[in-house]
Amino acid sequence: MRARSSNSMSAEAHINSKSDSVVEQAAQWHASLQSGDMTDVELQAFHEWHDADSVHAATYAKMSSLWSRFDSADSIAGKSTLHKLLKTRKSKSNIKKTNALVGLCLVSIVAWVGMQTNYPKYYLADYRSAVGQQRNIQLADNSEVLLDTNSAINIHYSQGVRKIELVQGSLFIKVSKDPTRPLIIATSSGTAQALGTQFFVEQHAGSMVVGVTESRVQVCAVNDKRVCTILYAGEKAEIKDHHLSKPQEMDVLAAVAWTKGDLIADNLALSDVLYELSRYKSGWISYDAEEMKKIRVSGVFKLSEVDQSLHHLAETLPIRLDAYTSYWTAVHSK
Amino acid sequence: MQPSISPRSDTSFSELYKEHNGWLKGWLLKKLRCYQSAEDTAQDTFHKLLLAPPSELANLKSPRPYLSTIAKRLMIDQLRRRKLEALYLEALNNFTEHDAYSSVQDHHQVIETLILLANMLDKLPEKPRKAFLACRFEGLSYKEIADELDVSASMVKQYIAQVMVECYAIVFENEKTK
Repeated sequence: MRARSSNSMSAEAHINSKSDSVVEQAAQWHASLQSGDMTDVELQAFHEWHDADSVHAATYAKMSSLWSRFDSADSIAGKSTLHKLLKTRKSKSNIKKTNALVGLCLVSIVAWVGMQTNYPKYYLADYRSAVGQQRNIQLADNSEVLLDTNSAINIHYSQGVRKIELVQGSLFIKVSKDPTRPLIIATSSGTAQALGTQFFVEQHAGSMVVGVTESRVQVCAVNDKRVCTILYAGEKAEIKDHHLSKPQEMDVLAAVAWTKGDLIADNLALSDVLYELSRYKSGWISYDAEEMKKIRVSGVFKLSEVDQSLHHLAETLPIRLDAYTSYWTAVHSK
Repeated sequence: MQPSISPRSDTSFSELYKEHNGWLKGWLLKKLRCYQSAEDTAQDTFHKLLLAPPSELANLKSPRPYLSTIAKRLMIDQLRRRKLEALYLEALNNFTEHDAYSSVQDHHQVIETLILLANMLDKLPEKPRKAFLACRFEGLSYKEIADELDVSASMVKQYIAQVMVECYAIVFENEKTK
């Protein structure tokens, strides 16, 4: 850039630039040295510059120290954070630019319905995922659905409303914004309607849990008369036997961990962990729920490797595994 | 302009503090809805003020907008830091096996570095930013980066230098005022 002579890649290009500040010169030299392909002549020129002035040497030393300062962020977690941070900033400015034509708002919904009861409906559903499988689906309105293991949905989109019937299982959905057509997730227990951005619903045989990770969601119990409540970020509520509970606090990270293929146990009962893992395993895990309730578990388990997770549990907890067949694993306390 | 506190600035500083501290706390309390945070942020704001050049303090015509501007910047920094911390902890959770041995001290240092990176990358155009990340964190050569960004290798070198100038300014300008 600053080379006026023909040898534009030569070292002189840097030291000739009298208009550059010492910091700029140090940065140029530093960048040249980083390339690792400097010639002997260039290296010689660098040393001359470096030794010519104590300010040069000091500035260059500071520049190098900055470069190595980044070492501490050079981990998988550090890099992942950086990427996420830059991504969120970028998407923000993109939305501004496109004037939010297809502004995606994230809505995460997890619902759970008793498995055995819905077999015919499961096989007749518009979309379904097998046991141990997670499946991405792009819907007509640009909403994106992630189906959890052994889940099924029916899509009922009309002019006035976008309704997704969760037949069984769990889903995470990125809802594309459409003020004229609200998006509603319906289960047999109730409904959850996105008022803002992010939420999830979970339904355990006969009950339904709705949690919000961002903004607001209206939850209604299916009953003779509609009973509704509005949940804010970090809250969840349960519908059980047509009764809607008060909003409670929830652990957001643990609640949506499955979308990343993880089960996060923070001092959970082993019975709960086994129950969760069993949902991702084709086959059967048998255990005495009362016994297993007494053992507490903390850790992160990969949902894609249920057998390995079980072995890991057996190594660290007072339990023993008996695999009768590849489809039947029994867990006993020692 | 030395950041040392001369008697002259001390007088105007203590006057400013006496006169506006209560107001600033009230203003912050309305924003933060937490007495402790308001108190802390007010202290930090005056701390920043203490570091401002004495001439600037002496000629301050409307101290309240000036104070609230500093306080606002501090609040944004805090918000950023908290968001970044949350992101990092989430990432740690996702990659526990790799970072199992890092300590709280390490985490603090990583977060400081991430904040520095975020601040400096924020100020840079797309290509220098990408070039820097690819070079420093992906270990790509200038040639590889050049192909990726569709520029020349010497341009990549200029990008890297540009980023480091930015970084130097952020880190050592701050140190100058400390």
